[in-house]
Amino acid sequence: MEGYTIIISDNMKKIIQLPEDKSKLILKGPTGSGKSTVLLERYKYMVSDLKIPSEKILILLLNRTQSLEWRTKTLLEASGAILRTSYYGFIQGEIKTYYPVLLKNCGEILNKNVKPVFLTFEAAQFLVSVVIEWRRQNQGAFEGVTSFTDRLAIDLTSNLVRAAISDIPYKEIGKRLYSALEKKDDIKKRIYEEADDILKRYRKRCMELGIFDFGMAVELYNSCLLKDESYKNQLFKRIEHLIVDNIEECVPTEVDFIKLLLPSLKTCLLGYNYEGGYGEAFGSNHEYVKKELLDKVKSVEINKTYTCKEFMTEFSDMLFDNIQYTKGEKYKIRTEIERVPPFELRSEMLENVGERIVNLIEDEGYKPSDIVVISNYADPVSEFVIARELEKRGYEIKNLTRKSRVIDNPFSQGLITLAQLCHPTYGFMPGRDDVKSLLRMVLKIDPIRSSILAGEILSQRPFAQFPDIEFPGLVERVGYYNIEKYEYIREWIREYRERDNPLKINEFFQKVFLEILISKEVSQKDILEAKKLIDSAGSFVDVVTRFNRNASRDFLDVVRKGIKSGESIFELEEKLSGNFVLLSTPVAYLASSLKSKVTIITSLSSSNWTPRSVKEITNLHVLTKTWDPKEIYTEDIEEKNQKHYLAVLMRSILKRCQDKLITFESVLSANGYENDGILADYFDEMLI
Amino acid sequence: MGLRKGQKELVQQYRGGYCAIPAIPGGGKTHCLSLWAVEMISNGLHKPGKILIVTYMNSAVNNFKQRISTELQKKGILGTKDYFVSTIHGICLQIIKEKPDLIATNEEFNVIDGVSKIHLISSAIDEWKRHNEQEFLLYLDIDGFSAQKMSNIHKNWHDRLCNIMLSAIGDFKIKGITAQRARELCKDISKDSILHWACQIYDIYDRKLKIGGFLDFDDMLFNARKMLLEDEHLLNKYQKMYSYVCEDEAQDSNYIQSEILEMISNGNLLKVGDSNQAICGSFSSSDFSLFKNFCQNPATTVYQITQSSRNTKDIIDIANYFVKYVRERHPVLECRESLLPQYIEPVDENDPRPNPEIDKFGIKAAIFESWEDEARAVVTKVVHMFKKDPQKTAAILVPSSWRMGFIINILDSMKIPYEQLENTSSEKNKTVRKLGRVIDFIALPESGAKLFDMLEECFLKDSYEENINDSESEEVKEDQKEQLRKFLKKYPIEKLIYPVGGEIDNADIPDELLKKDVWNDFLDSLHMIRELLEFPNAIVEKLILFISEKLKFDREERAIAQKVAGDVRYLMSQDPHWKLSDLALELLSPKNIFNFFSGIVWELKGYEPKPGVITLATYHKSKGLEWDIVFLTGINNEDFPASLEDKFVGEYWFLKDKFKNPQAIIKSQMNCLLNNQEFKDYSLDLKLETISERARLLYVGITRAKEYLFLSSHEQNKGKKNQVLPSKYILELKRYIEEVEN
Repeated sequence: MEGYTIIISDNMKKIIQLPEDKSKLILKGPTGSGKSTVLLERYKYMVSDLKIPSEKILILLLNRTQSLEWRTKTLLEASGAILRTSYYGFIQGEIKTYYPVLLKNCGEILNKNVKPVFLTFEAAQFLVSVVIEWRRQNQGAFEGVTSFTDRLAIDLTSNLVRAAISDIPYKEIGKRLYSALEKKDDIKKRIYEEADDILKRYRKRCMELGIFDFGMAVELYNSCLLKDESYKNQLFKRIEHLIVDNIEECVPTEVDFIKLLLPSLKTCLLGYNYEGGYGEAFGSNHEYVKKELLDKVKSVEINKTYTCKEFMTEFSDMLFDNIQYTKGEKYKIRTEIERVPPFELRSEMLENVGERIVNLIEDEGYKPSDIVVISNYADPVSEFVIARELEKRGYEIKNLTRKSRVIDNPFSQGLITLAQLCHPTYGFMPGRDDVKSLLRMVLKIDPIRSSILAGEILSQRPFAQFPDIEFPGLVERVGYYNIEKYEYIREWIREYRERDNPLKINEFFQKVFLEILISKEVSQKDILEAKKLIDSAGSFVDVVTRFNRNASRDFLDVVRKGIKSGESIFELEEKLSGNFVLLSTPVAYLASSLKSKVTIITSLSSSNWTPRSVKEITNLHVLTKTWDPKEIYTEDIEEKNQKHYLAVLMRSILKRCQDKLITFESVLSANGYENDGILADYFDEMLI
Repeated sequence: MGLRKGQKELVQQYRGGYCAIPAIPGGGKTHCLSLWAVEMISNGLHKPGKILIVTYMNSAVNNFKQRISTELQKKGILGTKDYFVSTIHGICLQIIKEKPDLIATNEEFNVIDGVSKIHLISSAIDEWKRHNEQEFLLYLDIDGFSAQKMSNIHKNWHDRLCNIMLSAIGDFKIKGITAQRARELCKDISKDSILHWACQIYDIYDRKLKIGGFLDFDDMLFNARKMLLEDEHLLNKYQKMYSYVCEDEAQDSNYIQSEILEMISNGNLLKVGDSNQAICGSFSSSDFSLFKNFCQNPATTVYQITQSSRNTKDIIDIANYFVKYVRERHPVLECRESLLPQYIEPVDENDPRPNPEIDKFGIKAAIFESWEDEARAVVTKVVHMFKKDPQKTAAILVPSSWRMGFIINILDSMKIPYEQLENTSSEKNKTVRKLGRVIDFIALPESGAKLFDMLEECFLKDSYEENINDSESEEVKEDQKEQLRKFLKKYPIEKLIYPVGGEIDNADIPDELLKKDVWNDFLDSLHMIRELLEFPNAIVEKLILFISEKLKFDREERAIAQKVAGDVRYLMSQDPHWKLSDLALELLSPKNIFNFFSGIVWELKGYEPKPGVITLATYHKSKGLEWDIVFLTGINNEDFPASLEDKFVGEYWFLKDKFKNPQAIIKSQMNCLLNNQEFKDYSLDLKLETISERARLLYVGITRAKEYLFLSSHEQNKGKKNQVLPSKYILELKRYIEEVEN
């Protein structure tokens, strides 16, 4: 995606060049007003002109995308250690460094001799889902709940996080959610009790072992480090300057943390987009920011927008008002706002999106990187269908949302298949398709001959193995091509299987990678994939072993179930800077700092634009600091929240759109049901 | 507008309140209901809300939509914001999606399709059987059977139990009894009782359903009603959303559906139906007295439609005769009320659309020695009729879908074009089957049989004409495709697709095959076959979309392919051991999880009978349709019982006498348990209900015919335990026909 030019005004310059002491400021402005640029320039100025050591400046950013942008733009400036991280990253670092202090203050951790380990979200979900599934099958837990176990695991772990970042004791989660319910009944009461029980045990076990998920880390940091006077004092000494972008997306404990630092800071600059607040699903709380932070620091406002033209500002503000306040204002339609009439089928819509993009590039002179496609799911089918339309003309689309699974990459899949072949005791018989692909990859033989060979391998008893290829008949069919390589792998597996102890899975992957898979033809991308697989296997094994489980086996299990693959910073960089059309969910798009010339919105009439915040075992608005536990969460509140979310989301998206907005929709959804979302209705009402 | 008696009053006068339109078959219900909606909308009378039309099947939904939008367009009104046409399940889905958390689920829930539902109940019964082997065998009357026969009976009983249990679970759900409550209830009943099993199986089924994130149709109805009852906010919203609620086919409504629509309608409720066409009782706990009572309600304005121009006067006469016969002379006294005295009148002589006229008496009845004979005779007759007049439309109706198989075989072997009105029909399944054939081959590419199946489905012509006719005698002549099939079966496939050295060794190929068109077509397809094989299959959804592109799928087919692709990831996450061949297996099964979606896509086009193409359907599926020529087959005493001594669907010959009708037993026991009543044997009630409903089903069949009507039946297994005889109805109608003809 291309950048856009922000002209630094005198006013901005003043802010950038504020003195090195007693200058604390909130920089207010709408989307695209240049706040982030000012923040960046200020940082550069602090380091190069004011000569402030970089380790004295804490920079808190939202996510990796922002971090990447900062890294690229401040590359030369770095002198000492750089304290640039997300809130969670910061907490992890602090816990690691000050673990002895934490251990002193926390009685729950039994396993004191090992380093703390942090759970990824996926590992946390895996652990919780194992417990839920067992209880559902054997104890009838969550009876009456219609939902996948994985979904429940996600909601339960998120509840723990939400409670922690809102400073709500974990023991009160169920009670708080239940008492806010408009319709209470025994079934729901039991569901919340069961959820609480599972969380309690899960948390206890993790704590004992010194394994922390996001929620626990936040909780520990707040209760065991920030309450420690000596820690606090040296924290105040360590950090003299603070830069935070997008404080409107901060979670409540982060706001508290900023508040705590404020008095001792020499300078601070907080970027504040008053139009933001789309991150509530992740626990950000705009209300709390307004209440707790805005009046604590002097603020300066800049309000010229550089990312969208006047008509779009007008349009997006009007849409916001119409949704949020039901104003019913009308907007005279113009060519820059293109409303494509509904298609009957979703498939037709997707194909037409592809065609329209080609059209934009070839007839209207846009570059692929000028265009972003916003889709609520950014699912593989949307991606592939649009991609095929573009490929025909030599263009590419990349999905900003992380959706690919580990097993989607043939190279990683090859590693996994070999792991299955080498560990018969784990009981995972490799699939025929996978063995076939492996053979095609390593032996370079055609699909039919590799299929024949795969069939032979799988029919060996007692467990699949590479048979003697010289065996009459087999070699005639398969051919002599690459037979040495075959023999080499065959021997390798045989030797490995004879080992007394299997390697840890990550070590196994490393060995296989170096001894079998690596060759001249292996691409940079495949090496990267392998590295990601080895890394994530390593951290998984680290964690799960502590639960006395066979972590290597568990890892193969979760991989088969389709865990997502990690994304390296290089891949992210490529997506952000290459000449591709981007596909993204609204939130992933907003969390990046990308802008576009043409914004295409798909499935405008879908009801997915207004997701419900009340779910079977959670409610993100009730698990917040600004919720009064005595209140009932009524449908009116929910409706208001949904509309508010939609209004904020749409305004933020549109304000990043420079030239043209195109909307697409279909009468029927992917499942064949009629779409009936409210967003399309607002467009209908408004445009005349 | 060409409106007749009853229709006119509706369109011109109905502006609110309760209104009922009892209409005889062919009375133009869809037509006048659409015109009424158009009239309301074009005059703005429907405001502030919309008009809601609830009908029975997706095809009817599309039919209504098309008619209304066409009429509105004529008046210059575009857009679809003023009306909403849906099935009852569509409405329930909409209601539940508003607040899924009220019933402890979230927006991600899925509605289980018919095929998955059967899988699920079958696996629930398996699980139950593991602990209840004794009980499973308890009812079987299997003395003196061979082991082979017994295993067949076990399988048969298992399959029957699936449906029996689903129906019992449906009953529980409709009555609002949760699995938990059912579990408590069954504590007090004997372990030998089938109701006890039903409670246990319900419990297992429900757990599986919920863990799978599924709601079934009964859950949808029950929960939507529950939510509207308990949540005033939600009810208000729906009452505001819809100013008028119309229920089409109201005779097939059930209590919950009626209640939901009554609540939403807020007093403006229009019901259209024909009590004499109520045919859904035994499937969906529907109750045709609901419509009857609605008509009799003093608050209801009734406009009766009695005229029809669909059929010839002769067909009208026989339909009316049948009503009269049932009412006055039905052998079972209690069943004489099953048809109401609504007689069809032909339209006035000066009507712009008069009743059809033919120059002879177009009704025949015949009884055959066996079902095979009957089917063959029917097909021969259709062919004969088409030859005489290729512009005619025709349908063969069968009492149950399993009977279709034999007819399809005959039609296939005679290469007669036909169309099936089923979601599982081969036409609707074509896309999914093509995908299945390709994926099946990719999964096992060394198999010549799979290669040939794929070629035949996707690449080869339907038939290959021999151009050198005389050189071979008739007997030796073998179909070209058959030659190719035989060759591929034996020859190593890799040597054809990836020959060493790059060229196929022609010396290996039989000479007579080398010369044939089919061989050239095969060679032409090789390039694409290699492309398909070499496409990376790590990401299966990509592979599916690639196939769809390579095979040049059309609009509808692409929609289905995308649906399959979209579901693959979910299927794989459910079962990590899932392979390409499993996907192929699912895709190739005529009843597969994509039937429902395929049905929706194909029904968007709506169904129009095509001249010269035979429509094959069950009596049930023929509802609302019409053809020039109609064959009513299988009018025997099992499917159309007319006396208490007849055989009944639902009575199984392999069960001990006192357990013959398990469904009736469950119903009896359930009533006894829930209402604290004394045990009452429901098998008699159930029989009466079946007789009545089947009489109406035959009436529906008769009234489908515009010009020609052929009634037929057969005998089977005479004198044996499972014997089948012609129904009394066909005997009676045959007598009537002969009388009229003479």
